[in-house]
Amino acid sequence: MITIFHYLSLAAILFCIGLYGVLTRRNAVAVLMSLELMFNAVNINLVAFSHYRPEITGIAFSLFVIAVAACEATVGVALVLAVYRNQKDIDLERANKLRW
Amino acid sequence: MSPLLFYTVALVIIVPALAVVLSENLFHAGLSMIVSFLGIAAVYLMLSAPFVAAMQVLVYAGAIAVILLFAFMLTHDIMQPQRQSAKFQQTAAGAVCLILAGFMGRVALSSNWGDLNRQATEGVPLGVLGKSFLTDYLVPFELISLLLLMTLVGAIVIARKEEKDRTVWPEDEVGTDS
Repeated sequence: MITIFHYLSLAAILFCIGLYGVLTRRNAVAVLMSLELMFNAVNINLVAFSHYRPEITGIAFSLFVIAVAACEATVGVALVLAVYRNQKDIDLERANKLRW
Repeated sequence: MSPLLFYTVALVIIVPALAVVLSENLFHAGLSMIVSFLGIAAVYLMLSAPFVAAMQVLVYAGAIAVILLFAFMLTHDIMQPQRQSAKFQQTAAGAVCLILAGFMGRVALSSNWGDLNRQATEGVPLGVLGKSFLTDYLVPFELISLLLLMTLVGAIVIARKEEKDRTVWPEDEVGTDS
């Protein structure tokens, strides 16, 4: 039988894959992609808890997370385009003008 | 629900997710991200949340994936080879992720889920969800609309071109005339 443990493990694995991408990718768009994977892992957890415990909170919260993730992706892409216009490159290790 | 179905869907999620973070070709990474998102929509269907599954397909596999692929194609030179991060960084990140996954799996395994592990329910009807959005979650629901508006304006302001000849304000011209 598939229990809540299976869904939590799937979400944990997905979250860690996304985290690996965020830590190792140097392309800003690839980092955004990995970030979306982490968002999805959290959403799986929310919906799984809402399923095994008949409550509406988890599903409502997961819909809010989807909306905020859409906003995050839009602003992230706008920032990537602004960085690209300034330095013709979206390598995150070269976007260090604010570092001192 | 049969375990075979669950493990198949889990495989459809995990393998493209690995391709997203490991693939050399970033365009292939974006395409496999869409496959992973569709697999996650199937998980929502198995969890008897069809509305969340529909939103997953519309917003993630539709809108967000297209936005990211567009951003990738606008900013990337295909001829330019993809730079990798340092070997040390990859090893350290892999170790951190493996430790974190093991830790979370151990917590999920050793926790006492109590009555959460009984046979699952058949899910929330959509009408109840809609009513709760207009009663219990009214304030966050309206704040989300405000956030979407701010994102719309903010993304345009951040991403538009700077207009060089707009540095002279109309008031200044009026001032020099008079």
